[in-house]
Amino acid sequence: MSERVVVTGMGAVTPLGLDFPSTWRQLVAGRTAAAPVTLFDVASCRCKQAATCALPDFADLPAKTLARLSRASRLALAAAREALADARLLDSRGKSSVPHLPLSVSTTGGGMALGEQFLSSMLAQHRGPGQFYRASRYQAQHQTHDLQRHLGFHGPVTIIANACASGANAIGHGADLIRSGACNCVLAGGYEALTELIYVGFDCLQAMSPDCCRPFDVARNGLMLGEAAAFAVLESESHAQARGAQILCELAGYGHATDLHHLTQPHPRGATAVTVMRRAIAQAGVNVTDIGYVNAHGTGTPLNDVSEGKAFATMFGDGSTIPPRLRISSTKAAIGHTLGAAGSVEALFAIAALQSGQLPPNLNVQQPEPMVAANLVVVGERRMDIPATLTVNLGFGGSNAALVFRRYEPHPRAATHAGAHKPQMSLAICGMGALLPSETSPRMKGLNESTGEQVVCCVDRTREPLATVQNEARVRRASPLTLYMLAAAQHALAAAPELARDRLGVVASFNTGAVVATRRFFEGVIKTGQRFASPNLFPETVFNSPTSHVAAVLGAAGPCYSLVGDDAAWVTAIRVAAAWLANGLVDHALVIGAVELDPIVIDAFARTGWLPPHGQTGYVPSEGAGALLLRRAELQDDLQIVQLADGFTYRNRNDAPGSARDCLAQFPADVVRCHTAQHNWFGRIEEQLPGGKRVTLPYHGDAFVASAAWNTVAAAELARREHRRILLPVWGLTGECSALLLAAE
Amino acid sequence: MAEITLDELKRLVVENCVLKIKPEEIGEATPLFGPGSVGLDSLDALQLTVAIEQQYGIVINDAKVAREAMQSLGTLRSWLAQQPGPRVKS
Repeated sequence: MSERVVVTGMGAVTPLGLDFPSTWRQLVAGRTAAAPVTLFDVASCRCKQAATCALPDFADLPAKTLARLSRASRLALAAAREALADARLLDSRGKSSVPHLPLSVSTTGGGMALGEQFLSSMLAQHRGPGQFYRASRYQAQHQTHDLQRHLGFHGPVTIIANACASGANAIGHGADLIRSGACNCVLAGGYEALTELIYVGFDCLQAMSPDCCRPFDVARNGLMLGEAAAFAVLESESHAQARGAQILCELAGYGHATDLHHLTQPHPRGATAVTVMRRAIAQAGVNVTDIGYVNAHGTGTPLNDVSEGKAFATMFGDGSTIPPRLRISSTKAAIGHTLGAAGSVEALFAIAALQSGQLPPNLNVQQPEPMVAANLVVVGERRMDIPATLTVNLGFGGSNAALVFRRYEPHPRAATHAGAHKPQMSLAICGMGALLPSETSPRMKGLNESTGEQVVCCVDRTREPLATVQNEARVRRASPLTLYMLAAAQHALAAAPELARDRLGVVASFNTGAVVATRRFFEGVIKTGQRFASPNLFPETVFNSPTSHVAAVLGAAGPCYSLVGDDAAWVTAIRVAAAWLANGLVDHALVIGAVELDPIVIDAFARTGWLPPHGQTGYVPSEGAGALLLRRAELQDDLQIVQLADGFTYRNRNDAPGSARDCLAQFPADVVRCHTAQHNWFGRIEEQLPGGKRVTLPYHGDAFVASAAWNTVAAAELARREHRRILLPVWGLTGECSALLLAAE
Repeated sequence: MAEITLDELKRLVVENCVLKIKPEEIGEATPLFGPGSVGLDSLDALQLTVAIEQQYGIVINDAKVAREAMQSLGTLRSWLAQQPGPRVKS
């Protein structure tokens, strides 16, 4: 039996307060933070309001350092620090007292405000300083690096970009890591900073209320966007007990699955919402009647709230009514829909409700939806004695997740499981697919004239299998990235056509995600104005859209994660699949790495200094996808991934060799190692690393996670052909060094 | 004031809704939404609303009006012809 997971610290920055206690006081008092947007111009938008945060200050940071932190990093840093302090894991210097601390984080926009500025300046043909900073630091892994750097810890990082459900996924995944035995303490949570791209996107979808967000009111007419950051410290029960931690509650259950109904609309009866609630309640081992409070997703959009109400009636009632003892509220009228942070901040509300018996009210209701009329929490409701609470998040792309929190009661056997307990991890590779760029090397221009023309490797979309793949109705509007993923995934699945699709999960890893749609959408906003932003393009800019499309076309109804990071996100994706398989959540997991090229990417490359001077050979930006179909290894499996490991997160190129050595030292010395970085700046480091025999893999240009995926396919084929162990390093170029060991014996 | 032609609307729909068919394959009475239709969905409806405002300066604010006007290209063309205000392609 796996260990119980407990919560030992919480921290949040929300539009209602700069820390969790002040947020909670304002929330239960029935305050709302709705206010006119002043962060950027919204003059041409249909809607004008949102819930924004006061920016936390950091007295201990030099002004220059503070100025270089993105808005997203500032929100995340304050919330994470509060969570560590609450868990008594912060030392007198404000640093984590646990040096090795895995991080499970969610966001949808990362530091997108910097990306918006970079695109605007490239289109305006600016050449000035500051462009490198914007080009390099908008990606989500830079905010997690900021957390590690300023809070003084290291360890594996998982960044989940599952749109509106990601915050619950980040916390649930933190628990999965502990349950699978990978670690015994995790910092888990989400952050979101409001940006123009996302605001205009929701505005053009007409998903926001022009006047007032009214969740579960019959007259509701849309959501209100917000921003926030919220983190929790999760520990195994024995780890928390051994250090004498205050235990706030037990994170007893986590359920997640994918609603394949539509990219932006929920299943009319909330079928997948019921599935994830059932899974979370079953894992928690509680009775349905033990759940006394539900923090609903409750966005205030016409479709979400009615489908969610039906799901609650199915889960907690007779299908058409809900017992009045179950109290329900959406807290989005108070703090807005905080997207990547929503699931995390709402999880903290569910924990506080469990601890205090106070319930956060559902504001702005005059005439409630009949289905939930008897259940909505009102301001000043009496305290309740509740054994367990539940949160549910129903996201864009059909990402649905639920968490169950239970009052903590000491477990008599817990102390016997002291210490970390890494399981022997072996994954069988039962299918592989690679979608490579074509052999010819065309040139691509940047948007900025000073970028010039660069040699790139591009996928030929007129050739098979892409010519057929793009005829799928579901991917009509989808990004090229989606098509690459689908082609690679279908190839990997061809090896096992009979497998149960309802027990198939998908983990995708990205760097820039659907950058073509994102650039086209925001370029349209810049050129034609916010009023004419494209409703057809915006959903395709969201990180998890490609993954949801792939799941829908393949009929994969298990969980889906979209991970973000540098090249090493590919290894993180394999690790997620390993945790799902170890916990019995799925029978098979499809792991995909995919990248697409766009002119703005060429501008960004040119400013990072990675591209060779014109006419010279060297680093070649590339695109494509690779996929592996994995399951738990059994004796007869000939091809396996037998070990994964990471080095410490490096901060600059001087640190990188140490991180690479740290990573390789964890593997046997006598294996054949692949040489993968000969065309980028890591190549010189790689040449000087110790080790025996090396092998060079075919080069198809540099496409980060997609290259890591092709290389894994090539290394696995080599291992199978030559019946030996092959070590494949995945050198992340922005901070992560990882490697995996393949065996065919 | 220039009249909006059917061919123009066919191109508008194919380009804005990223359809894999040729503009001439859409008939004047072919339903745009639902079974046996061109296969548009609610996102396309919003996209067409934006495109019509951008191209012709005609604003569609009411979802019910949009649904009725966008049954087919024929109904859309007649509805547009009845609207006051600018028509000139921007």
